[in-house]
Amino acid sequence: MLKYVFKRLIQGFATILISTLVIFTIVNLAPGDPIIFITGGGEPPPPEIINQLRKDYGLDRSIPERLAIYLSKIFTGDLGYSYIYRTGVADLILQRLPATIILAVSTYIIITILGIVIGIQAAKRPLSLLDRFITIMSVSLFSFPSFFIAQLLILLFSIGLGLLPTGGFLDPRTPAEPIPIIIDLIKHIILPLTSLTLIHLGFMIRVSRTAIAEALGEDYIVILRAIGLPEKKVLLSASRVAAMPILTMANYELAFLLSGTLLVEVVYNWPGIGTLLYDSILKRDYPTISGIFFIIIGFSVVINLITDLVYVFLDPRIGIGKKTEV
Amino acid sequence: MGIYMSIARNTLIRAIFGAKSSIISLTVILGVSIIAGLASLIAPHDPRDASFSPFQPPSWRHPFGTDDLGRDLLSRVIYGARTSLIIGFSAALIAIVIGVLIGIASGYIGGYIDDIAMRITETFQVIPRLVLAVVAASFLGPSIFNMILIIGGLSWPRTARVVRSMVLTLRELPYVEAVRALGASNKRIMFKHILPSVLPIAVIMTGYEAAVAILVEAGLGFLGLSDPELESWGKIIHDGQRYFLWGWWIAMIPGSILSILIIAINILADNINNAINPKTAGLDSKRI
Repeated sequence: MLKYVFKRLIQGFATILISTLVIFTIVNLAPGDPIIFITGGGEPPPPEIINQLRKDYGLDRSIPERLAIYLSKIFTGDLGYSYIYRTGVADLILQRLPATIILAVSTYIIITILGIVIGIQAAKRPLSLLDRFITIMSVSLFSFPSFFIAQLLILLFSIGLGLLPTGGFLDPRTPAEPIPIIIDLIKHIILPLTSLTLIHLGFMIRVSRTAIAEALGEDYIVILRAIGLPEKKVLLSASRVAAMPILTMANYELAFLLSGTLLVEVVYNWPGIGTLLYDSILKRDYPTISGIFFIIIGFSVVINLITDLVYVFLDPRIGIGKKTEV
Repeated sequence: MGIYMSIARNTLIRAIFGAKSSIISLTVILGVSIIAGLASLIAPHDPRDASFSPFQPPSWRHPFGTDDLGRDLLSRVIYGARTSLIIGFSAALIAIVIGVLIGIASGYIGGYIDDIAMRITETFQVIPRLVLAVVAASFLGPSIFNMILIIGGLSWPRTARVVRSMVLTLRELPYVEAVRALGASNKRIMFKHILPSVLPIAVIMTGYEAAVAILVEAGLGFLGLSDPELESWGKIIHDGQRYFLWGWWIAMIPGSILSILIIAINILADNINNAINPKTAGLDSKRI
């Protein structure tokens, strides 16, 4: 057991290291001299100033040298200094993180619960009319482009009905007291949250349906039914068996959501990781781009690691030695 | 011959013509393809011709209305279909070729090759595809050629994993053992005996990946990263959001058509997949 935990930790660390290395290299090899973006374009300043800037930002060093410095610092929480925002990248990301986390975690909770509830309904009678309807619905949901759903909701609820704001996080006019702030936040989060829920729900329904249908097909279910256990309890028992694979997939979705759902954040002008990344890409803010990637990768690896370990601890049937990757 | 081939042929026909949803989906896909292929004959106007009055709602003269610059939206959407399909299917094809090769090599050879391939696959899967595509497209420039390479080059991991897990089972089957005993080289076994058996799954994955590739292309266009020379649904939808108050149709019409096309591709791929291997129904997330 300990050996497995250790092995997974090493693997996770390796993934973070390799991907950070790759991203840093790609970002720094990209065409376009960051000096142009630092000076803000227009008339180029005299060469002395450019040289000074190059030195200040460490751009006079070679890429391998920069990479070594970068790698030696990121694990201490120093993600570098943003060219454009002129602050530490770590601070910049920390500022944007709450908005993304609120959105990601609320979506995660809603899609997991709704996914299981709807999945059970579909799995109860496979190939029935209800099951087919739910299947088609879930395929349709995850086929919709996220930005299109987001726009559709804005058009309906903000522009059409005038009920909700078209975007943003908090209205600056809201008094700085807890209750008005919470109300304002809820008003702003409803549309992005609904968009993300609709887009990711389809996938969760599909996962739950498959997992529960599979659990219902096992031999012990036949026995439970033969004993005369009420169908409700049989379903409960099957969903308990199906819970682990469902949660595993839900956690992967969470990792994905935490990486800042770029398009939805951009449509709603949501001040999270996604919009920060988009801005930094447009402005060629290399340190911020690399830093966000580091955080995204870190989140994914840690969540997947936790999921795997929880799986192992909770499900004694898994022989770790024989665990095959699928 | 791969053992799945003959079974696959029959089930394929049944999967396509046996279910109403498959027939509808196929009609949608073929319809869009034909319109895209004959774009220059079908489109009523030049998509760049901005000589009409702007923000006209859908009418007989302009069935999809006109946009903010007074271009005929129907013509723009028809040319956009061409871009979407070309990028979608070319990228998917590249992804499937890479994915199948890596999957077979990784699953059949095993050992270090497998370890390295799986680490790389994992690394690619950790970061959402769209995010990587945005970075790559903004650095390399969003020409249609780059777009195909970028999206294709980022889309192989899922296929690699599916194929690999299939090959792990296949290589233990008696027929593979038999040709190995006959002295066939590893290369021969991989290409002559294992490859045909993974082809059906490769076809299905092409469908799924094309759907995602079209979505990624539209997403990039929506973020302002599309070939400036070409029409793109994403680009039109992006323009449309700025003019919601004056013309809802500019974003909503291409958005709806895009959604319907993706739904059709996914349903068709699902139905074929269910028919060929009911156990893997659902496969994996459609992360973009």
